[in-house]
Amino acid sequence: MTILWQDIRYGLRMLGKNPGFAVVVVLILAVAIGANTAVFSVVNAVVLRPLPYRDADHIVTLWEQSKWGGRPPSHQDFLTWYRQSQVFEEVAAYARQRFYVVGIDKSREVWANPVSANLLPLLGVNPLLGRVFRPEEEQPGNDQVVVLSHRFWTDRLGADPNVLGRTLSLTSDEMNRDTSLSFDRRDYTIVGVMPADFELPFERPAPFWVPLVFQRDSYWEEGRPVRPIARLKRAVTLEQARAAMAVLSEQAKQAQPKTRADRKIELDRMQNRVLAGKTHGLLLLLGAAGFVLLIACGNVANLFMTRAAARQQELATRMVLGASRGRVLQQMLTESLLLTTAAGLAGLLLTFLTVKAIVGLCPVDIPRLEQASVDGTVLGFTLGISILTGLLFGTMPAWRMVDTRASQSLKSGWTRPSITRQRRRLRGSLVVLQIALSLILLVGATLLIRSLIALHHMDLGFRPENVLTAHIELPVAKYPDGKHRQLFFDELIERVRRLPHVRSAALVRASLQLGEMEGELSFSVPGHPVPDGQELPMAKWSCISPGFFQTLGIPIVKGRDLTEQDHADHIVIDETLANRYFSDEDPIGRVLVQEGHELTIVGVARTTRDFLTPNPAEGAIYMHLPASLPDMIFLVRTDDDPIRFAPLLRQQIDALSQEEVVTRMETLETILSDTLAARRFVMILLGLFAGLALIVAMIGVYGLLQYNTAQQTHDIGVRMALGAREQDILAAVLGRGVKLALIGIVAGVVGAVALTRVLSSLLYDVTPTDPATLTLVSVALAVTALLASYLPARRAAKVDPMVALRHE
Amino acid sequence: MITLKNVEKCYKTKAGFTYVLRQINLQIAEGEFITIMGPSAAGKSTLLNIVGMLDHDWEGEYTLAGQAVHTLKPKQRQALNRQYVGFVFQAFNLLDSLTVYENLDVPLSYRNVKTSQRAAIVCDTLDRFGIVGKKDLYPSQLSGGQQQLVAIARAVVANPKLILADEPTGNLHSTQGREIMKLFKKLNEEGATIIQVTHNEEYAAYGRRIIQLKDGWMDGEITPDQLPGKAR
Ligand SMILES: Nc1ncnc2c1ncn2[C@@H]1O[C@H](COP(=O)(O)OP(=O)(O)OP(=O)(O)O)[C@@H](O)[C@H]1O
Ligand SMILES: [Mg+2]
Repeated sequence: MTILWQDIRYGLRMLGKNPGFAVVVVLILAVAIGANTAVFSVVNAVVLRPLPYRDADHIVTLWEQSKWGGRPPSHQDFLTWYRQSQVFEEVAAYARQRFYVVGIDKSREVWANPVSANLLPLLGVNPLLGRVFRPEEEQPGNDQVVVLSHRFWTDRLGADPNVLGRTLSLTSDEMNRDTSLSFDRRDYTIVGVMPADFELPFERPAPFWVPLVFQRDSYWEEGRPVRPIARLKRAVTLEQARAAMAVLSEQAKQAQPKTRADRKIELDRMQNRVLAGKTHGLLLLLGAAGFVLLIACGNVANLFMTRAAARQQELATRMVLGASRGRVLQQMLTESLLLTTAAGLAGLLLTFLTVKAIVGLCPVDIPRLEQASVDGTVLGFTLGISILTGLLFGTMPAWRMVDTRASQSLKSGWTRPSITRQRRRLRGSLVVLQIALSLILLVGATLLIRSLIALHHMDLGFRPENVLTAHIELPVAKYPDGKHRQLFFDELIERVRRLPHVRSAALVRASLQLGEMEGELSFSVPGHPVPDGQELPMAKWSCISPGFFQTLGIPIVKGRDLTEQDHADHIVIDETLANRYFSDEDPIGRVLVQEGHELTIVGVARTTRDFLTPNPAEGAIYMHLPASLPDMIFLVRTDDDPIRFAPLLRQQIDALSQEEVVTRMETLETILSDTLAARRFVMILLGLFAGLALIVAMIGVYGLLQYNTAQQTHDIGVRMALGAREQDILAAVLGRGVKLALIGIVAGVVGAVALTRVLSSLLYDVTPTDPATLTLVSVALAVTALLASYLPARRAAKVDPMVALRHE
Repeated sequence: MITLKNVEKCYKTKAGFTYVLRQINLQIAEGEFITIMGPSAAGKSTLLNIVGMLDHDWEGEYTLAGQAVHTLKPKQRQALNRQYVGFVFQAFNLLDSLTVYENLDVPLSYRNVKTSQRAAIVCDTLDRFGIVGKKDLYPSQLSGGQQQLVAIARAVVANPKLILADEPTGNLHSTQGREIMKLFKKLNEEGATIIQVTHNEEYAAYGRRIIQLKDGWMDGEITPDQLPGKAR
């Protein structure tokens, strides 16, 4: 014990003697540990941790696959087919519906989920209060019951313990579809409250759940779309379930050849689907952080070896003076452990900060992100790796020396050239590895930066600058029917158009967010028959007011704009659609058929794109519908910075409605830029990691050359005495740096070509192996390596031969 | 070829200035073979380092081949060194990470010798010193005597006009030592100026003038005949 204490004190003193070394090791390791643990903690929360349901492994999700992609089945199809299979213990479903909650605080619109009665039992989550739904509550008339989320219960109802039995007034446009846009409210009895962390897979946290009732209306003749969820029987594998669904699909096809000919029922584990497409960036960052850790370990290994080599003489002396091999090793071990422990603590601190930063930076649509916290296992893992690195490389040189030639090393002052060479090569290859890995990271970051630049310069087909958007939600209590709402919006447009600085103003339906800007509309084109059983083509569908094209700056290339007099039967299509179906004729005056209605084409507009769908596939249909829905997006084009216009617009709207109805106000450019958030997030972190990697790798290059120079001071002196010029020495050291860099760059380029394809889905207008990027990064890295080599080279060139020769 | 006027060298130590060379006045003509003798710490190596222009920190006047060295900048002195000097260090100073062959190649690589000629010159020198068989070995794999041979070979490989040899025969067997001396003599006859430091009277006798140093002062100059051993 006293020996250990003595070792620690001695170790601290040795580290204190060389604080630069200690600080660099601690910093490098801390950064690597911090980055890794933080990213892994996030990935663990989002990707790896099982979903919070009973036996989540056995829960699968089902959907209909056709050549148009996957989609939820209609309620009718669900009831007819999905429940037949023998491979499931239970099959449940849920839907999504907009409700207006009336009577609590202010009325407001929310998305909530109708669920089949067996859904919550299937997931294995019990209510906190009361009960979940009963099967008979799926029948119309019995369905006015509601289960609240914990959040709604606490935030809106003050966590009232006697809430069961109270009622909630809800209204929904779906409930009233066939009663021509008037909104009846209905009272729902509260029967249960769910626990705090419960939410449905695939869904944003919902405020409440209601029973899923089968119901046809003019809009959904087969019932609304529902999302099926099933629990596999214990003995059934995923493959067996897939095979069973294939058989079922075949039966369905036989029974309904007209509608189901090219549809198949598919399934997958819920966990896979929940995260499909959303974790790519995170996994990528995990890989990048792993690279940073590798680079850091390589670097620290070098630092430790260097240091141990520098202390060879001291250690040899100790051994000659009678220190046992165990004691010497123990001393080295103590020092390594001191350092890595310090690094671990610093890393832990960094991790806490970084996890917060990552969660803050991350675009919001990643599920379970908020649950990310520093994970003990992960921290243990990275700490373990770095401590191991320290131990291994901190003591390795001692091992070797202890082995053989302690006395000799003391006598002659040099180790055998073969050993020196071997170690030099090991150190060199560690530096090469660092350079190669940082090149890969740099290439990745550069590709993303180039993609973002390309996206920012992409021709969108419209002019987003100087456009202000305001999301308006009218309270249904005050504007109970379509007429009132239409009046409000018409008046608003009139008033705003008269304001100074306003070029034009228009309305577009609120669900038409950018990115998922449009709904979809299936249609047919006379003269273009669709083969039996095949689905009708779909186009993006926008409901707009006249002035829309002018406001967004979308040119009408043929025909005319929509006017106040045009209604649902007159449409404007975009060039993509026009080229597809009317390539060799004039589309103006031709018709599309939508559910039996003829839609006459009066104009053709430029195709627009956005960052989420940079390659519009099917084309778009625009129609003018009266602004009768309670929520709309109001668009204003100004002749100036639109942000300056925002207060004036809000004032106008508030004056007209005498209530706060604007829920969001942003410029169109902001909205567009937000759709790039996911890419930007990956880019920023990858860029950060690449930068870190570069710095650490350059410390590696610098450290190695500096060490070599120090080791070779004598040789350099001899060379100078033999006639070497300053520039000869300079060139020799720089040459070694550049040689290491070049080998590293070549290895890195090979690695990058092999690895950057994982970035493909995030790239735009640049290939993963873009030669320009590879060249640029290689040159930049070579130049940086040259700079890192310059200081040691300069120092070498300044060696005074007299002093160096005395050294002996 | 060499003129030293009042050359002095001192080190600053805690106790003040310690002079290691005092008022050295020396004239050496081209083609001379000079021996410097003196007890340990007399300043022999120091003097050789100054003449070889490895040491820049001294006072007095030094002219080499008509160039006033004391007026030259370090870079110019280095150039002069490259042009004239071949140096045999007291402590060999072979480059441990290079083979014998590579060690011999080093001076040539700094002297604008064509690569094609370099190989020929190195091989020739290896042959002359009888160390062809050792060319791929590292210095640490050689005996002390062999290392010394390589050190001498390296000093003469670039065919210098001025050879400075600090105890070149210290570690050699007497026959080998004699061989080296014969080689120096031959080089001297071919025109090289040689200054050697030695404690061995037999080898000292190869020089035509013997300069004696003591405590940094010049302590007289004798001819080989006046060596105590010869007088007996
Ligand atoms: N860097 C230095 N700092 C202080 N004193 C020095 C330094 N270098 C040499 N000396 C001193 O200069 C004196 C002359 O040293 P020098 O090496 O010239 O002796 P030498 O005649 O070559 O001796 P030897 O025959 O042992 O090689 C010695 O007293 C030595 O201690
Ligand atoms: Mg000496």
